[in-house]
Amino acid sequence: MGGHVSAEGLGKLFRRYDPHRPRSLRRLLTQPPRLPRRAERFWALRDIGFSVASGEMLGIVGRNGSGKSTLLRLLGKVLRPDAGTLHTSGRIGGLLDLNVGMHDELSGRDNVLIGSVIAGLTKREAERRMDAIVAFGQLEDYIDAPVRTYSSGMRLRLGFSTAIHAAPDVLLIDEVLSVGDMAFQAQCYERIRELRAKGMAIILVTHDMSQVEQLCDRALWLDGGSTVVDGTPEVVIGEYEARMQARTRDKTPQALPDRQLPGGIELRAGENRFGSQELAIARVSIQDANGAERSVFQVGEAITVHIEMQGEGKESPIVSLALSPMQDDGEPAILDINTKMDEVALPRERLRNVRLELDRLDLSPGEYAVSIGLHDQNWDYAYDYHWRAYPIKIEGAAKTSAVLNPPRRWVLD
Amino acid sequence: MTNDRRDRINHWKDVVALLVSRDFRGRYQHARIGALWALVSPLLFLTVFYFLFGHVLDLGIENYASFAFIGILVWNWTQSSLMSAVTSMSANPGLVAQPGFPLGTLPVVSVVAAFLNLLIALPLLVILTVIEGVAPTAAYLALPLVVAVQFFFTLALCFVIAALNVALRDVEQILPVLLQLGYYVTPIFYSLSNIPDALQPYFRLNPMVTVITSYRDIVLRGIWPDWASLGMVLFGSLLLLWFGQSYFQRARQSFLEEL
Repeated sequence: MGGHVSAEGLGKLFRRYDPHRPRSLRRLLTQPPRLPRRAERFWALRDIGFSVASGEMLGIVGRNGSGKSTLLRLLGKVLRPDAGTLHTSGRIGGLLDLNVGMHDELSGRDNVLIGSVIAGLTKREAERRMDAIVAFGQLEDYIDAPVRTYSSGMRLRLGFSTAIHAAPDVLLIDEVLSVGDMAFQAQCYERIRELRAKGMAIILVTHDMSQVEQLCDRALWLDGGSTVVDGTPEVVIGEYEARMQARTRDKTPQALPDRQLPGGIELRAGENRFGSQELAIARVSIQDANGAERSVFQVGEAITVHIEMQGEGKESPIVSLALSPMQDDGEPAILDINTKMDEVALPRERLRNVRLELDRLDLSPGEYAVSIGLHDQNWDYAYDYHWRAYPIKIEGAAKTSAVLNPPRRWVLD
Repeated sequence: MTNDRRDRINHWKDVVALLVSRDFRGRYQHARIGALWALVSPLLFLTVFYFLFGHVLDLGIENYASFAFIGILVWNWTQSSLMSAVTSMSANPGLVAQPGFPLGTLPVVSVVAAFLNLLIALPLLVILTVIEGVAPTAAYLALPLVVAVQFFFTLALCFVIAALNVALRDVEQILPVLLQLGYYVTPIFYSLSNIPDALQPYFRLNPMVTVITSYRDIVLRGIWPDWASLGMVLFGSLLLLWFGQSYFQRARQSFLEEL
């Protein structure tokens, strides 16, 4: 195993959708004859260069429509570039469209064989890997049952396990890592690290910056078909987040009225409130276990944050919550969570309230600020973000100046 | 390099074998009588034709049941191959986008899978001929050759329509109509001798006429097929296959832009 990829000045032209172009015989026959004119074209991808050596992993990030998938298809040689050169060595495989070619009526075992030959193995090679594939997917008890009876999670594990055992020299991954439960995901990460160590060259397309951070050596950020930043994951992620904040800032309406919050802080657009307001945070209420609104809590008490939304977002948002000490010293938040990382899928419509229940908050006494955000599904920008707008105070005997203050005992033997 | 080539051929073979078996088993897995369903449609057609053209409008054809059954089975092979090949690209974008997947296997899978239906019905055909009093002869030895000719002819068409249908979706609309018309202009339930002499040369332009006639010569008349016309169809089919295959490979590069 051990492949490499190098691309230089890679470009792909797409025809812009021409409303006059006959897509069907009827149009072709009924249209008045016209001089054939050159179809209008645009660069879907332009001047992309990089190289991935054996054992390296490159992350490609960017919004939908930025050219990521087109690039992956060029690398997979299922599309031909219109400019530049592409060199690859070894067999190219993909974790792209899992379960492609599989059949619901057939058993898991049959489908492993089908999936494996589609991924490039011969039947004999697939048979040799059968046990490993079944074990990796934790499908021992179901492998002879028809796939029709599988849960969506099992189906996914079947597809993933089959594809990842095809062990090509160059592996192209499209988004699929963000699916599956946490445990399986961890297992997949582990497997990918193993394959890399054996010399596989890997290219990962993703929305998820944490994957780039955890897995990749380098990253490429595409926008509008061109490279925006090419560098280490830290650099690319930093730039990406800065751009996201800038985009949110641009989308924040200037005329948004200021609002006095019950905690004493005034919300001002552009200062501590950002976002397009397609979907707005109408009210945030911080409550104790009995549902009473409070801003002062004892160390270790349960806290519930109740978020009320307003407006019609185009799609379901990601809800985020961050907690940081009141004195802003530029340090990262001490708690930074969101519905996406916790795999909470919000319904698309008629969602009004979200409640986050924290069983206990073991912080040292002091004053803290809560930030609440609603973001679009790709983390491109915020719908509404209330930055450090909700203060809470933790009370108790102050014994430590550090943040954490878990319940504890010293045991002496 | 020869090793590499052998690996590729092996892989090709495995893809075709597994996908054919997938289509075949997937289709019949759930049915109570399983693969016997492959017999139902040709037998129903045979019953109707036997009644209509053996009794109502007697065409005066000897051993009519076997005669018509050969026509039905042979035509069905080509027809089902084309019907499944026409959407083999457009209905499988996932496979089209799969790096390294030999897409050229899909039309082959269509033709081979449809051939299995013919194979299932073959014993029944032999029984039918024996009942009608025709015994198998040494001419049966020529059957594989006729099968090969039909295979190449059908496969060549499959490559062309599969590729064509990606850019021009009308192909999958017009194809059933053409096939239905083909059913009537090809001597399936009638014989070439039922046609006025003056028109016969035009009918003979249809390669399927040669194919079906060859099968009938072998099975019903116990004679060798007409080598000259069969050879011509073989030559034409190989030429068309070469063309169809290269057209397919060229069009393949732009499939994803169209899908």
